[in-house]
Amino acid sequence: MDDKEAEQDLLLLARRDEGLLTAEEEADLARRLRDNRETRRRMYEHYVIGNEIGTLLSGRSWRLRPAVEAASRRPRTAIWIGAALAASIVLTGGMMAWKRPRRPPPEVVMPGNPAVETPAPGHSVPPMKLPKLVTAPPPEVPRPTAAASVFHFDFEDGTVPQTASLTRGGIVPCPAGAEGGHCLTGSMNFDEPEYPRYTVSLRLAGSARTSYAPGMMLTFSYWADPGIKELGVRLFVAAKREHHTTKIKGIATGTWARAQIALADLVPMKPTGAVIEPGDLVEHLHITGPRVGKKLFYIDDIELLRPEP
Amino acid sequence: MSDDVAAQRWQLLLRHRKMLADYVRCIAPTLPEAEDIFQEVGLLVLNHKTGPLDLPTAGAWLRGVARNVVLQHLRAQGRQRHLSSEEILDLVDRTWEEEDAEADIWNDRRAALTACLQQLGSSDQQILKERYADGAASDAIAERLRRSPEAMRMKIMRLRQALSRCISRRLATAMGD
Repeated sequence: MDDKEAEQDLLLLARRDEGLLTAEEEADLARRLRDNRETRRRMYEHYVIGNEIGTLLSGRSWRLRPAVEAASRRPRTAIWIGAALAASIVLTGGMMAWKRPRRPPPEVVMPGNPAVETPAPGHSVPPMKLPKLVTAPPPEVPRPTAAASVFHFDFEDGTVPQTASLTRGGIVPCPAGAEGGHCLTGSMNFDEPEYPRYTVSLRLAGSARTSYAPGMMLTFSYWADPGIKELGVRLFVAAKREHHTTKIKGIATGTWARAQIALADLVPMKPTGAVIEPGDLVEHLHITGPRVGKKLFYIDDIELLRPEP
Repeated sequence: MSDDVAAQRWQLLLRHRKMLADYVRCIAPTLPEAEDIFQEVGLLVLNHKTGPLDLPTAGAWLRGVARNVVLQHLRAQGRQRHLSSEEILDLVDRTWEEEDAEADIWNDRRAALTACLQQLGSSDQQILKERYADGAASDAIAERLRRSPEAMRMKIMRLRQALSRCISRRLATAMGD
């Protein structure tokens, strides 16, 4: 087969890849694939190397996207319910402003041990119920003045903040969410040697890539399906080339809750590992949820706080 | 299902994940759908009661599961026209079966890709990232760069050809060392 034929193979494969093949082109491609091993090999290379290019250039593997579609249709259903509700408000001339039920705002006590705080009654979001109609946002819990935010990620607009890249998991509509409400959910973590857990991983960049300082506190909102018993938090400490980890036990389920972790409480994953020290660069955050299956978890409003001098 | 069987299924997935991911990408209409379908196949495999655990036929079985999931996915959405013809799907299966035997060669080619990508300029890398990592259509990339869609498809094809040649050169050099 000469170069021209090879080029025609590649053009057909590229058009197929984008769903652009006409019936005639598809028949032509089928004939080529049937008759030529080289064409089949080119198709194989097209996808194998194409996927690898995607992985290498993005720093993430597409194989590690969230399993929401696979395990549950609930988030999308909630969105449609929310959209229907919003439409009915417009049609009936409703004057009340519709707002997404809010997750609990950060409420941080520094320093502290790994802890879980269920939201205040006014902030809790019951699972799978229609969004509340409210005329004003619930009162904000005042932030402690002694803490400065190193980064604060929310995913309201469905995008990853510029100072992070999502290397595991994905952005999805929130479980009790509605219009515009997005949060993170985990995907299968193929680095687990024993059995996969859903995991959200964020590689920190720019101003979010920071050095450890005593008193630092990581906080985030989470939603865990009933039956989930714990969440894990892991940080990759670049200076030590090691992961440091902790578990959050006795978590709240079926509602939004807020977790807070003192970074000082993270321990090296290897028993012989060195502890995290002031100045150590922190560059990759992982939050692990349940074993892969039907139970899901969602994360939002991730904030790292540094005590102000 | 016992934990042992679940653990064995996980090992099976770990061993075949790249093959399976590439196969799913080949038969699913779009990148985001391929990602979701891959996860769904993973869940099915982890929970499957009767499929092979560690047999030479595991690769073909995994592909069969994936093909069914893609079919169901498109039928459920009334989008059968987005599915390749039965003949093409059979030829894809045949291709993957043929290349199963060449897994080491493809692992080498994947490994050589990193250095070859680094030889590309940043604008070319950006085009490839948009196409293969973000799943952007050539038309959208062309619009951003104010070029015609056909010119962009040609550009991407040339980049892929250059990478393929670079990979082959590097492997030939490595064999000669």
